[in-house]
Amino acid sequence: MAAAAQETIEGTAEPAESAGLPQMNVETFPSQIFWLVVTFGLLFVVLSKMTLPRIAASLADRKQRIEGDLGAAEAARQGAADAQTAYKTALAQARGRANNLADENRKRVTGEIDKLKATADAQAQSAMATAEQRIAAERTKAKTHIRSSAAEAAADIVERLIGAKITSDEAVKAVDAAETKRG
Amino acid sequence: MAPDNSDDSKAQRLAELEQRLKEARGRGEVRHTESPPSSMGIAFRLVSELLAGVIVGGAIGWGLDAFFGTAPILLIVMFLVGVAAGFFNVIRAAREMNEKRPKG
Amino acid sequence: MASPMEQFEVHPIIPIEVGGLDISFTNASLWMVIVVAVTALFLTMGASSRRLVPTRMQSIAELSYVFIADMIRSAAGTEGLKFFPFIFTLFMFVLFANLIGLLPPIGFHPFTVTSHIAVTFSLAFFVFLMVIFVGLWRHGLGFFSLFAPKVPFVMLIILIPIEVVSFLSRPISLSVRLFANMLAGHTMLAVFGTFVVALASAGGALSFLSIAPLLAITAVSALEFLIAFLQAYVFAILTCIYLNDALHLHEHH
Repeated sequence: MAAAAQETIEGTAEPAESAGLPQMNVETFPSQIFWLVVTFGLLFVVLSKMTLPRIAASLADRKQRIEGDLGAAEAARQGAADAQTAYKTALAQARGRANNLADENRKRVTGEIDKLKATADAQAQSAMATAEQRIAAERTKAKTHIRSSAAEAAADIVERLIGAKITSDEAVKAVDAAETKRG
Repeated sequence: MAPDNSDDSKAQRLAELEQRLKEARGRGEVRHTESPPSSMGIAFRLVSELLAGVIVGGAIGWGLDAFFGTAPILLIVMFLVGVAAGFFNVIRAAREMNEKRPKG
Repeated sequence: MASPMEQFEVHPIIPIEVGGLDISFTNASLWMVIVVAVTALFLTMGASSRRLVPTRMQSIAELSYVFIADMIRSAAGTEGLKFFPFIFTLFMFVLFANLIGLLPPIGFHPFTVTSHIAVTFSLAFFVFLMVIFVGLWRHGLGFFSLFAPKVPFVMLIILIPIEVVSFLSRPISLSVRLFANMLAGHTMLAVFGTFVVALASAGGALSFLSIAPLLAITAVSALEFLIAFLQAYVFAILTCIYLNDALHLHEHH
C-alpha cells in the first residue's frame, strides 16, 4: 500500500524535477558569490576582531587561575610533606636519644652492681679462706691432742693392767702404729 | 601503637593529595577531541577524491582539445591522467586517515 | 505538490544589478545573512560572559575554540595557527549553514546555503588560492616542487601532470563533497516529508501509515545532524592539510 502511495507521489513530482537542479542555474551564481563574500567577510571580521580574542582571554584567565591554584595547592602539599618529614626526623632523634640514655643508665647500674658483687665475693672468699685455715689448724691441734691423750690413756691402761711402766714416747709410738694399722 | 597508626594514615592522605594534584594538572592539558570517523563519511570522502580527479582531468582535456582542435585525443589522455590523479588523491586521503587514528 | 528540489530554488527578493551583473538580494542571500547573524550572535554571547566557571554558551564557544585550535595544530603544526581566525570562521560558517538548513519547515522552508555548488566552490576556491599564495610566499618557486616527487626523471613526465591534476582537483573534491552531502540529505528529507503529508491527508488507514516515513524522517534527521557536523569538520581539516602542504611542502611536521 505504501509502495502504491510512493508511486503516485513520484509520478506527480517527476515533471518538476526534470527542470534540472536549481544549483546549476548559472544566472544565480554572481549574486550568490557576491553575497557570500559580503556575509562571510563580515563574519570573519566580527569573529577575528571581537569574539575570538574574548574567548582567548577567557581561556587564558582560566588557565592562569587554575595554574595558580594548582601551584598554591602544590606548595601547601609540599609544606605538609616537609612538616611530616621534620616531625619524623625529630621523633627518630628523640627516640635515639632516649635509647642512648637508657643504655647508659643500664650500663652504669650494672657496672656498679658488678663491682659491689665482686667486692662482696672477694670478702666472702677471704672470710671463707680464714675460716677454713682456722678449721684446719683446729683439726691438727685436735689431732695431736687426741694422740697425746690416747697415748696417756694407753699408758694408764697398760700400767693398770700389767703394772708396767711405759714412757709416754713408747705410748705415742704404739698409738701411731695402731692408727696406721687401722688405716 | 595508636599514634603511629594515625601517622601512617596522615602519610597516606598526603600521598593521595599528591596523586590528585598530579591528575588535576594533567586534566587541564590533554584533551584530544577527534570527531568519530563514520564509515559513510570515509566512503564519501574517498569517492569525491576520485571523482574530482577525473572531473578535473576530463575538463582540462576538453578545454585543451577545444583550444588546439585536437578532439578527442587530449580529452582521452587527460581523462586517464585524471583517473590516475584521482587514485593518488584516494591513496593520500586514506594515508591521512590512517595516520590520524593512532594519534587520536 | 512541492518538488523536493523546490527548497533549493533561488528567488530574488531585492533585485540589484551592477554593471550588467545580477547581484540581487535573494532568499539565498537572506539565509547567508541569517547564518552569519546566528553564528556571530551565538559565539559572541558565549564569549561575553567570561566567567571562571563557564556558562553553557560560554563553554560551547570555548570548546569550539579549543577544538579548532587542536585540529589546526595536529594537521598543520603550530605555524598553521596563524590561519586560526580564518579556519574558525570557515568551520563555523559551514557548520551553522548546515545546521540551520535542518530546521523543520514551519511556515517557510529553511534554505541550506551550503547545498549550492556556487557557495561551496567559492569557499573551496578561496582556500585553494590561499594555499597557493601561502606556498609561494613561504617557499617562492620552490613551492612547485610539491608537484615533483623524488623519482627518476622519466617518471616525472608522467607524474607531474598527475600531481598537477591532483592538486587542481582539490577545490572540486572539497566543494562537491559538501554540496553533494547537503543536496542528498535535504532531498531525502523533503521526499520523506512529502510522503508524510500525502499519507496523512489521504485519510483512513493510509493516514495511519504516515507514521513510517515520519520515523524515517527522524532517523535521517539524526544522521543529517551528524553529517552537518562531519562535513564542516572535513572541510576545515582538509583546509588545514592543504595549508600544511603549502607551509611544509612534503615533509611531515
